[in-house]
Amino acid sequence: MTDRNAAAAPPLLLGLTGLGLLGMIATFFVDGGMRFAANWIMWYMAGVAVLLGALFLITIEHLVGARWSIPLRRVAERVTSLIGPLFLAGVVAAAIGMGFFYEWGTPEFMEMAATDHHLHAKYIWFHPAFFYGRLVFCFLIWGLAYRKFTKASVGQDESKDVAVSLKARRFSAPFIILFAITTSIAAFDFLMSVEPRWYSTIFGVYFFAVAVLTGLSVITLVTIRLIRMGRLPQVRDDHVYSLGGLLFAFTVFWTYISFSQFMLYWYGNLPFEIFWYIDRLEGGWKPLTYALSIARFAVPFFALLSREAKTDLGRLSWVAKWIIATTILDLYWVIFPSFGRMSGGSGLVFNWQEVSFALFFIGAAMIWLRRSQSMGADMPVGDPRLKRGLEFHL
Amino acid sequence: MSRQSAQAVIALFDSAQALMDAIPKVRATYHGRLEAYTPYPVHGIEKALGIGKSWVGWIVLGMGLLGLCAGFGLQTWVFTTEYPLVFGGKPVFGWPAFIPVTFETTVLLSAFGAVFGMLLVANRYPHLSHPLLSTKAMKSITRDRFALVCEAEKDREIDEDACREVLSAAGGQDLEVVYESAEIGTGELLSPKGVTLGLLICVIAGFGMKEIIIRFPALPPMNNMDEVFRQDAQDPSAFFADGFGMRQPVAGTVARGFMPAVFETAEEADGVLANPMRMTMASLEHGKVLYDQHCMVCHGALGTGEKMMPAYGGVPANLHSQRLREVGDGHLYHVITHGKNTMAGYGKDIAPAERWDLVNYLRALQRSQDATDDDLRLARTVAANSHTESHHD
Repeated sequence: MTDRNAAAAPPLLLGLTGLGLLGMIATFFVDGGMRFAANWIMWYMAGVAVLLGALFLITIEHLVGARWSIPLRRVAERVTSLIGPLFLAGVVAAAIGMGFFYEWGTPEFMEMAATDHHLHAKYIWFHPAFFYGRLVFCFLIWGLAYRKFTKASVGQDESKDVAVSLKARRFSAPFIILFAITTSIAAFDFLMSVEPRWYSTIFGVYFFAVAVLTGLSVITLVTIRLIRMGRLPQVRDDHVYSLGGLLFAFTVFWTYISFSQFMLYWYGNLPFEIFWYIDRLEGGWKPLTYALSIARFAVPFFALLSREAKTDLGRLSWVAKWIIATTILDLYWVIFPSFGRMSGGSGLVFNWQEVSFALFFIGAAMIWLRRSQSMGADMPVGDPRLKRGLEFHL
Repeated sequence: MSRQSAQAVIALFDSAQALMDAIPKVRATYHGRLEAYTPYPVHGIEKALGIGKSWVGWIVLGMGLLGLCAGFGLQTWVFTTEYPLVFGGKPVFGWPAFIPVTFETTVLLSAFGAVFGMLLVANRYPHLSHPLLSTKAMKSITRDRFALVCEAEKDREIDEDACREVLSAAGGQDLEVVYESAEIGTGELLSPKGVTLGLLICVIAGFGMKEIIIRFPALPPMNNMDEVFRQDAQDPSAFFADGFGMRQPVAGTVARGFMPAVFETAEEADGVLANPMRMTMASLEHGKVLYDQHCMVCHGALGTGEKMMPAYGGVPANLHSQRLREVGDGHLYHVITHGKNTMAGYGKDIAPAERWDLVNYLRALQRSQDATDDDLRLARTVAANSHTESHHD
């Protein structure tokens, strides 16, 4: 609104993003499509995580009638505007994934499936048409939520129509079910399928934990930025505390889910489950696995443990950035061991190629989020419950 | 008691807001201990009262870490040192399996730290009563009014008039002065009254629990799995067509360590059942031990079957008869196992491999009584060697 200028990206950001793009193109021609695809899918799924985390926060607010998050809902709604570019990134991810990376995308897959029962049983799931169909289905569902939540809420700023809030509430109940299904589909299709022989029924929940953590972190960062710019003057410690509390809670939830799966697989020791962990507990991946558990659990847990920490903007800001970084590490840990298996190495690669992808995707996301800050008012001013949200006390 | 010393002055307010407004006014002039009592938690009141950060959080953290170390340490010690057992092929230090219990002990001790830290340390329990509980003001505090109280420090008294003045100036109503010590020591718990009350609670709780268990048998206490769904031996079963709970082994079942005995007679075994034991010195020596223990009493030391049994009317076989010299090992084995005529079977007493040792010895015994010249020469050589060997020893 008044900050059109602030929304424009500074030249440094544009330059770094452009540099990243050049590096990505170079990666494709220097290292081939496989490394390009592995990186692209990792960053695409990080974006999906942000989108789903923001959608989840909005949905849960409508569903349970939460008050604390109403003043911050516009922040989440603006984050969901990532859905457009993410759809394009998703189509690219599916195409290059099938073309260069996924084992089930190779021409030999049909022969492998003929002799391997595990692959044979999943053969239909990996049919390209079915795969693209699921991708479109997911984005249709999320797009519907974008219309019912974000678009309607922005329109409500002017119209002050109470019906918008009621419709959003009514939509949130069926959507939370669809949300669970589509989250699982996204996780199974793009992340779990890097190991087509692997079985994990909890992987959708695992990605859900990643998504909420990442989405919340982005929302926290944007909120802190808006607070520091003075654009959210009525948002008090009580609201920020709830954000910090949720970040803390989902840090524990992620640990719970990921450790539960590890412990059960370690105990059961079944061949079609355990090999995924053996890949990650041998060679160079072993220290990374331990580092991940410390970085993703111990550090944010103790950083957010005390009551003051959850309202300390400086602390929250670096913890949110830290969590986003560990999300990337997490996805790298999921995808790249398989990249190693496919390309004949450990898969533990990090060089200018990976830096280029990071520059481009983080830069592009920041540019997009800056642009989206001009979408509607900074708070859902048309929502009749906003006043109650502002009065929220712990 | 001499002239009563004022311990606390209570002032009441009609709303949380009135109380919150009064606190800064009182604090501006009064610097003693100030407490607020409200019917429900009032947000931000601890900041207004100037109450510092509670250190119960540190107690919780300390207890949590203690629970973490104790839980993990106990399991490590038990499973690696005290009672190392291998479960499911896992290493004895199977730390992933320790985590759930460690988590539980961490949460348990954290919760203890929070609750007991709050009660014992922060609220200075236990005490049976608090002087404020017997004031008129308390009734309204627990209903709809808010109290601000000037309290005396330990073993001191407050300036009653000054407190009255500052509290009414801040808008406090229905002022009330408490003249008792605000601190009631833990000594009360050990007084006759406290001990009696404690014993009474124990007795009532104990008898109550006993009555509950007797009167509501539908809720049995832990019965150590006395009742389990299980097919006991000899019980009938509706599951099987023949109505028997116990089942016969499947045809062809072979018990571990046993060979199936498929031959009805010694003649059937003859020539079919082969001797698996090689005729070694060890086998022969063991066979001799068995022969001396089980066979010699009837068949005699040389196997001629004379001298011993005729006195009792038995006719043991002469092991040197042409028939027994010509039968196969399987025949002898079968007779040792199952017996023949009045001879009992030794299958229960002598293990299969040992019976074959015995067969080997019988063959040596037969040859010793029917030796060729070559055998005798060989025997002399062996005896001479063993003689010199024994000298060497």
